[in-house]
Parts: sequence; structure tokens; C-alpha cells
Amino acid sequence: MRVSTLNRFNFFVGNMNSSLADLMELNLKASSQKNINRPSDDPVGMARVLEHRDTIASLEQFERNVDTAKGWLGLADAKLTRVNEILSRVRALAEQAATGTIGGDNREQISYEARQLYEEMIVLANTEYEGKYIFSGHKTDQQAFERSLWVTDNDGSVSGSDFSIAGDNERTALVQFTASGTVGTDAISYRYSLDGGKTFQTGNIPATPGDKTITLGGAQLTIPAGTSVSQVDTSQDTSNGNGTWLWLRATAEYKGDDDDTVTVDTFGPSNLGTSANGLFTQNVTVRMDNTTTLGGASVEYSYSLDGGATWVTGQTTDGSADPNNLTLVVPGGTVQLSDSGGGNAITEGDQFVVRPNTAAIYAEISPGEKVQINNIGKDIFGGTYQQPGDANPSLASGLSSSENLFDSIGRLVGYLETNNQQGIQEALGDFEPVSERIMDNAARIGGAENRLEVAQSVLDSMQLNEMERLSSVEDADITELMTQLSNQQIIYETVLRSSSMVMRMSLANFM
Amino acid sequence: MPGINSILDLGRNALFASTSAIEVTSNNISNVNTPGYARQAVRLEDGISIDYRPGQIGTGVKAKEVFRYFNEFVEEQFTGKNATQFRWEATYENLRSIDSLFNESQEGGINAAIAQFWQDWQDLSSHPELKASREALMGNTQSLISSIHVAEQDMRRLQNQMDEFIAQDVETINDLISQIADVNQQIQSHDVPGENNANQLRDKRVSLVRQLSEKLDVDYIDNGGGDFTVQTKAGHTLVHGVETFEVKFEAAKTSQSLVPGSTFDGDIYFEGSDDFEYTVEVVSGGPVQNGAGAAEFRVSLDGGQTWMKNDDGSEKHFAARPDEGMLQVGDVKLYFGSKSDPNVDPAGTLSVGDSFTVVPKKGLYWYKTTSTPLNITPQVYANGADNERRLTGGTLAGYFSFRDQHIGRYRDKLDATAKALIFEVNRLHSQGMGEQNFTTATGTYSVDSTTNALASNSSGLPFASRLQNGNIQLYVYDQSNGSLITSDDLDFGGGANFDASAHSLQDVVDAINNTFPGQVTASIANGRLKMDAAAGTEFAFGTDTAGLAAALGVNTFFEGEDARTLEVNANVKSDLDLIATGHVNGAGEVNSGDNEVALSIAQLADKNVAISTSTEGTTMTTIAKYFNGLVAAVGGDTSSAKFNFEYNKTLAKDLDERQQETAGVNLDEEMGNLVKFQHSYTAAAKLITAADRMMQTLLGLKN
Repeated sequence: MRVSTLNRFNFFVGNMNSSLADLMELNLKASSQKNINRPSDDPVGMARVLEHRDTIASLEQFERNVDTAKGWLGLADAKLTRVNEILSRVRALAEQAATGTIGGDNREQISYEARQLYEEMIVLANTEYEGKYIFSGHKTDQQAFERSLWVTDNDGSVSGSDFSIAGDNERTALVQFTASGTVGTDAISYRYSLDGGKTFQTGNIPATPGDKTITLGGAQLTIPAGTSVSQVDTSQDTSNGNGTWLWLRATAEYKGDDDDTVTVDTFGPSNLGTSANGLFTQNVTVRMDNTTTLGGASVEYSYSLDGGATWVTGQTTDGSADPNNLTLVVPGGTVQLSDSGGGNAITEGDQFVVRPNTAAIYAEISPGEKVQINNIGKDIFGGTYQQPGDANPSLASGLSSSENLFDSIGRLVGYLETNNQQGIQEALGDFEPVSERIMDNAARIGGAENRLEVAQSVLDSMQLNEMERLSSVEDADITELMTQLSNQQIIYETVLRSSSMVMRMSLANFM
Repeated sequence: MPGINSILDLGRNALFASTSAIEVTSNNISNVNTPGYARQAVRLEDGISIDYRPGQIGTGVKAKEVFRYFNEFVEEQFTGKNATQFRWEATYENLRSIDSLFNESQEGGINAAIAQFWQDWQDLSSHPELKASREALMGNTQSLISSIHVAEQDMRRLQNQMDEFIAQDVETINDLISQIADVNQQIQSHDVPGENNANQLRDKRVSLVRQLSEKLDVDYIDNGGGDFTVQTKAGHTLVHGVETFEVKFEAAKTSQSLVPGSTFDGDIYFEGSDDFEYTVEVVSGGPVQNGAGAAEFRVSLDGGQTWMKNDDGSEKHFAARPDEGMLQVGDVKLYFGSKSDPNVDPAGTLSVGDSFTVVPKKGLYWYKTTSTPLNITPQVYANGADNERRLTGGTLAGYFSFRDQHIGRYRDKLDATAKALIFEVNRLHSQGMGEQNFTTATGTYSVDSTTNALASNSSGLPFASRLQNGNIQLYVYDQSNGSLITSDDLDFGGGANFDASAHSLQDVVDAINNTFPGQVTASIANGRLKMDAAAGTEFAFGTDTAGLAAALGVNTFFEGEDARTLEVNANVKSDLDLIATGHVNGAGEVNSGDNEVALSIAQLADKNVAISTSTEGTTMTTIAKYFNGLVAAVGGDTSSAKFNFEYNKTLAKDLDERQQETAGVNLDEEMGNLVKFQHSYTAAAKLITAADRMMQTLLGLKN
């Protein structure tokens, strides 16, 4: 091989450059301590690094969500425990007042304490976390409960009617009708007491048609027309079987949000009747995929949980059992389609939107796993509730009257304030189921808190794991790097030494 | 006849030969570092011998010619390899800019901003009532948008830079072409093979061809002397002897190729620009007009190797003009008709096989004659192979492939990322509600025609293809107390649902007005949907199975349609209460603690969504993973460009060294030659002296 002079110098320069470039690359790795300093260093590794980072970021977010959820649930748990303590005290008071050995004065004294405890219950039910009411469902900006009045009677005549109450009183008002008759038809006289039966005032319901409002101190009770009441013998002290007695006594009205009802909207010209049953937590959209009838042997449909952005297709059901009713199974429950007089035809493209009342606030604690962090006050504490669309409040649905904390405690206070030993005894019986309900809810919340604990420890270990994997892809092995670095240094120095040696050589030196 | 005279003659010839050899050696030594210089030598020949006693006697030495050492075989290989090396060098050097643009190895890139965006929605879902959560989301969204904008702008800037580089290169190429032709002419007049070699001119021509091979891939055919042809690898002649041809870098243009018998007498026009060439091929003949019987065509973005597909994988066919107006195909709008009016029916009918090429970008053209340009813009097929009939080497191929195939693809992917982000978030957001109802709402997307079906290719809506058949639920409230007055889905006549392939924006407007008379008034403003509540009322949006709100841009979080136009909806930006966190629930209420929509948007982080580009079709993946794929693609392209560059550089360097082995000057060798010829010069001089002495001796005999 012939070597030209230019060749020789190009060769030296090239070698020096390439070994210096290698040295600089190692130096960069040493200073960043990372194997991957730009995407081209390791394209696949880079994508993995980014994905690990995304995962770590979302794990951190989930941990934050767990913290938030713990705050909500821990507070709810503590408050429910406190409610139970108060309940025990109320029970003790009720038991004391239910005995015949104490007199009216003692009952009055007890009634003051009981009313304080009732007030305290309302305060507890209106607990806030970070400025949000935790027992109000989605209406976190509204107090869960407001103090209000309710009617108890001895014969069910008024309490069973669609009465309404406005205003408020310090203490329970006792009403006795002094004439029998029907509201809106007969003139009815009554007397009422605002001080527990010590003194009475009288009033009259005129015989004009329509609902009638009677004023009892600061409160107004509207009794619907057609309500029949009977005369009380005011010389008798017993309440049962002796005409119509009314207690306008304390309760609490739920102002939050419920998740009791489900609305189904029809998109398109379909005339089918619709309803939905189940535990829907979000809107579900159903689309009919073939033209058939409710009795069709193969009814095809799809559903979507994100408002139609993506569809779960290929659902079929056999409707031939009943030509007029069809049940479609969707996540959360079922949708019923029925012939409501407009025929039983199903047209391809008909859509139905299941729109539940929603009240639960969820926090995502791991991908796809959600935990409810708030509570629906009326399902725990009861009270009264005016459903959207209703004219007047009614006793909270979904729980029996004996489980209804605010109703039970309100009745007790009402009887205590009107010195009604028999009523107190009756009310006492409710505290067992009320207390159980509170305990059940506390246990449910405690269970959710345990889930959070588990989720947190899982998140912690996942995060650690992800960090390790990220590190194994991204971080440089220092020992290896340092060895390579000193090796490369030796190479570079050798190149310099040998180049300078050869470069000096020339025939001219010897001539 | 031997004699003193012939010795003198012989000595003179030897002196002359040595002098010329020393002169050539000196020239070699002087040019030791001159690029492109091939070492030369004098070819010595012994003179003719004369028959005489005691036998044949030579007549000395003859300096026959000065020739250069040069390996033609190696040079030819080198020219090809050099073009490949320069192509990859240009690609690699430029990709390094993109590599650092998408360098997410340090935190704080687009990936981190996307992750932060989802986290902010999570935080908002934990605190939907907190103003600070909304502010944080808005602030971080702005940084996400600006980091996407920066990446997009930088890529466009690099593309413009490539245009400048290409223009400079094209100028250089045309200059080199004419220089080579000049040199050819000079060689023609000076070169006499075997006697008068035009060594320097040949060296010059070699270095000109080498310079040319840095710019584009060339082959040359040397038929001796000035008969020297240079052409591209694909066979486009650049120099033929003294004849030159021209390449030009020209603006976007279209061309057509009709099958024999086609009666079509019109042309294809386009609006917009893209980094890919659109090949339009008619698959069913017919006139260009609205309605049945119209021609249909298919479109390829890689010169007919692969054709655009529908989402279900079947080949996508476009009607020549399904509706009034232009046809959105990929990133450009196509139309037949006349340049100024897309609704003019061109004469004649299209036949199967008629094809049109739309090059909606600046391209490279080779001019065979002054009037027939031939497109030689480098093109890469979907499988990554080069189109061999175009340029495939040199910096030009590097610049073009960087501009079109690399940045073009990255921009497509970044656009697809932005598109997915915009639509998926908007789709959920538009079905939710913030802290206040609307008294007025205006869409952000406008239609080209208010009477074309919204989902058609000529509606002008960027997200037209995402519309579905379905409906949207609207709620009307009393403004004074917030109570629900009515709620209903839109009535498109007889209670019908929205039909994406039939109903136009005008139909949507009519449906709103029919469904909510006296409550909500819809109208069209600048091609956008505008909704106004009657005095004392306000409205809210509910379930939208058609995707109408998202496609028309009402009650959305983002506006814009790609990476460049991505912005937060201006209404939302000015009123953070409009960020939807909750929804209208079964009771017709929007409650402040409702976080359903915020949570479902946050969950998009892990949701696989359909993301599509016109070149690569549709993939189902999460938005972040898709973007990570882009980063990996940039890294992969850069590292493979680096590998190709280094590999080809080594090969080219090796060939260059082999040429140097032959043509390069070695000083030691020249030094040796110098001594050698110096000695022969001395010896020749001695010959003269000897002859002189002999002559003196001879003349001295007379005395």
C-alpha cells in the first residue's frame, strides 16, 4: 500500500477527532449521570423513560387524590362517631324522661338539653371540609340540613295530608281541635299552646272553601282542604283516642342533593315508554342498532358511557317473551322500553339517554378505581326533603320513619316540650334503629378508609417500583462509566502520542 | 552513426529528460496539499536504436509525456458513495436540531406538560369549586399550548431553512454544470492523448464532479477528451459534452396524465399546502358534477404505492364533487372546475385511469427542454424505500427528505396529537357545564357552506368526520331563579335525530329554532353556529351523542384544529367559570360539587383514543403514548441517520484513501525522486563533459 503525505495527516486528524468525540460523549454522560441525553441516544429507551415518567406523575396524582379522599372520609367518620355519642346522651335523657317518677318541670328541664343536642346534630350534619359541606351530595356549597318544623299528630289526619309549614318557632306548638269537621267545609275551632301546654290561645278555621292556614306563633301551618279533624276533650289529659292533637315540632330539612331517581330522555321520534332501574352513577346512552319491535327475537343495541364518543357495540337481547316490554341491560342497571300506546316499533338509530340524579363525588385512587368521598345526608340522617319538582317537603324517602334521625329526635323534643310521657316512651323505641343506621354508615365510611390505606400502600410500592425501572433505563452505571472514561482517556492519549511520533518522521530529517 | 556528436545529443536529451522530471517532481512537491491534485510523472522512453556495429546502439532517453496517476475505477465508486454520504450528512446534521427540539430527557418538555394537564384536571375534580384549581389548569394549559407551538414553529422554521438551502444548492448545481461544460470544451481543444495530456483540466473536472456529487447523486460517462457526460442516477442528463441542462426549484404545481381517449378537458386545482405529493387516480369514470354518475377517484400520498384508506381499512374513494365547493383530502382542498370557481363543471368526462399529480409544496424540476419540466423531487414510499426515478443522493436529497419525510411526518404526528387532544377533551367538555349557564354561545369552527351536510368532505369543518348520527339535549332555565323551564333534544323534522350525512348547519339552526321557539334563537354568523337565549332565560348543554357541540365548537375547552392553531377557547379563557366540571344531572341541576366531567377528562390520560394521520392511518393509543412515539421516532430517525452517515462516510473515506494511494503525493517519495533525477542530471552533464573532453582530445590531435 502506498501512503501519501496527505493521507497520513488526514488519518491522524480523523483518529484524534473520533477518539476525542467518544471522550466528550462519555464526559456528557458523566456530568448528567444519565445514559440517555437525547432521544437519538436510545429511542426505545427514551419512549420507556417518558412512559415511566407519565406513570410516576399519575401515581403521584393518585396519592394526592387519596390524601383528599382521606380528609373527607376521616372527617365524616369522626363526625358520625360524635353523632352516635350524642345519640346515647339523647337516649339517656329520653329514658329518664319516660319514667313516671319525674314531673313536668323535670321534663321541661330535660327538654332544654334535648333541644340543644338536636341543634348540635344539625351542626354536625353541616360539617365542612375545605369549605365544602360533606353531607350535601353534589351541592357542596349548601348546608346539608336546615332547621325546620314538622307535624306529628295522634290520629294521622294532618300528618298524612299534603300540609305545608312556613316560619319557625322556638319551641314545639301543641294544637288541639275543639270542634270536629272537615277543613274547607266546616268552621273548626282550635286552641294552641306555645309553652308546652301551660297556657292556650284559641283560633278558628272559617268554613270557606280551600286550604286553610293557621298561625301558631312564628309558624304557619297550611292544612289542605278535605282534611278531617275531630274534637278534643280538653279536660282529658291523654292524647290517644281523644280527638286530633297536633305537635308542630322540630325536624331538619335536607337541602342537599339526592341520587334517588333516574330520568330517561328519548332522542329521536320514538314513541316508546321508557324507564330505568339500577344504580346508575353516570349518564348511559343506548342506541338501537336494528329496526324491529319490542317483541323482536333479536334486538341489537349499543351503549356508550361517554355521551356517544365511543360505543360498546354488538349487544343483543331476545324480546320475544313479551311483545310490549323489553329490558336492555347496560352498565349500572337496566333500561325498560314499553308500548305506552304509541306502538312497539323500534327504529334503527333511536337513542335513549339514562340520566340519573347524581350526588356522589368520586376521587380516582388508581387507574379506573374510584371511591366516593362525600355522603348524601338524607340517607344517613333522614329529616325531610323536598325532591326536585315537588311542591312541599316530605319525610326523606329510602329509610323508614324509625330510622330517621332528625324525625325521631324532633318527635322526642316535641313530646318533651309538651310534657307527653307516653309520646316519649314511643319515641324512645326509635333510637335503636337510628343508632344502627348511623353505625352502619360509619362502618361503610370506615371500610372506604381502609380501602384508601390499602390503595396508598399499593401506590407507594408501585411508585418505588416505577422509580427503580426508570432508573435502570435512564441512569448511568457510575462504576462502568468511570471505567469507560479512564479507558477512553488512555486511548486518546495513545493516539496523540503515536501521531506526534509518526508526524515528525520525514526523509528530509536525514538528508 | 555513433560518434561524439551523438553522445552530445544523447547527453542533451538526458539533461532535458532529467530537468523535466525534476520540474514535475517540484510541481508534485508544491502541490502536496492541493485538494484534487493528482501526482504527475514524466514517462521516459529510450530512444530508437540504430543498427550498427557492434550492434544496435540506443540513442538515449526521450521524455514522452507528462501523465497523472489516477484511478478511474475507484473514482467512479467514490462519486456514488460521496452522494450517499452527503445525503445522510445533511439529514443527520438537520435531524440533530429536531432531536434537541424533542429532547425530553430533561424534564419540562411537551410530555411533561401533557402529564401536568391531566393532573390539573384531577386536581380540579378534587376541588371543582376552587378558583385556584381553574387558574392552575389554565396556566398549565397555556404552557402546554406554547410548548406545542414552539415545537411546531421551530419545525416550520427548519422547513423554510431547507427551502433556502435547497435554493442555494440548486444555484450551485447549475453553476457547476456550466463549469463542467466549459472544462469539457477546453479539454477538447488542448488534449492530445499520449502527447499533450490536459492533466490539470482533468483534475479540475474531477473536483467539479466531486462537488456536484455532494449536491446530488450523479453518474458520469467518460468517452475520452471532451466527450464527457454527467447524469443523475435516475438518468437525467446534466452535462453532455458542452451541452448543459438545468434544474429548478419551483413553486407548487399540478400535472395531469390522461389515458388515451379520455375526453376530460379541464384541470385539477388545490388550496392549502402539505409536505406530501397527492396522486389522484380516477377509479370510476364520469363527469365532474354534483349528484349521481359523478366520477370517483382515489388518492395516494406516496406516488401510487399505497392509497388512502377508510377507518375500516378499505380503500377510500372520493366523489369528484359530492357537494358544492372544494373537497377536503388530507391537508389540502382539491377541486376540478376553474381556478377561480370550484363550482364550474369542466368539459368532458373523466375516464378510469386518468391521473393527476398535485405537488402542494416547492419541488425540484429537471428541464429537458425549456418547456418540459420533470419532477425529480426526492420521494419516499410508505415502506421507507426511495423512489428511484427521483433524486436519491447528495445534500439535496438530504434536505428534501428532511423537509418532507421527516419534518413532514413529525408535523403530521404533532398535529394528530393536538387534534386528538382538542377533540377528545372537547367531546367530553361540551357535554358538561361549568359554574354558569349560557345566555349566548358561538361556535369556534366555521363551515364553508351552510347547506352541505356537516359530515361531508366539503363541509369545511375540521372534525367533520367525527360527527355521528344522534342528538343533543339542551336545557333552558329561568335566569332569575335558575329553575328549569324545559329540556329537549333537537327536532330535525318529525322528531328525527341529526343525520350526519344529510343535515347541514342550516338544518341544525332550524332544528334549534323549531325545538325551542321563543327561548333559544340560533343563527349563522360567519359560517359559525350562534345561539342566543331569549331575555330572562339561559341554556345549558347536555348529552350529545352526535358530537355536534364538539364539532361546531360550542361549550368547548379548546379551539383550533392542529398544532399551529391549538388554543384555549377564547370564551373559556376570559371566563374560567365556563370550564366544565359537572353536568346537568337527572334533576336538571348543575351542582357545584359535581366533578363528573372533570374526572372523565382527567381519565382521558389512560384512555385509548383513535389518532390518525393521512399517511399512517389510525392508531388506538393514549395521547401521551402517541406523543412519546413521536419522540421515539425522532430519536430513531436521528440515530439511524447518524449510523447511515457514519457508515457511508467510512466507505467514502476508504474510497477516497484508495484514490489518494494512487494520486496522492508522498513527500518522501518525491524527495527520493528528486535525488534520483538530480543524480541522473549530474550524470547527463558528465556525459556532455565527457563528449567535450573527447572532442578536445580529438581536436588536440591536429596540433
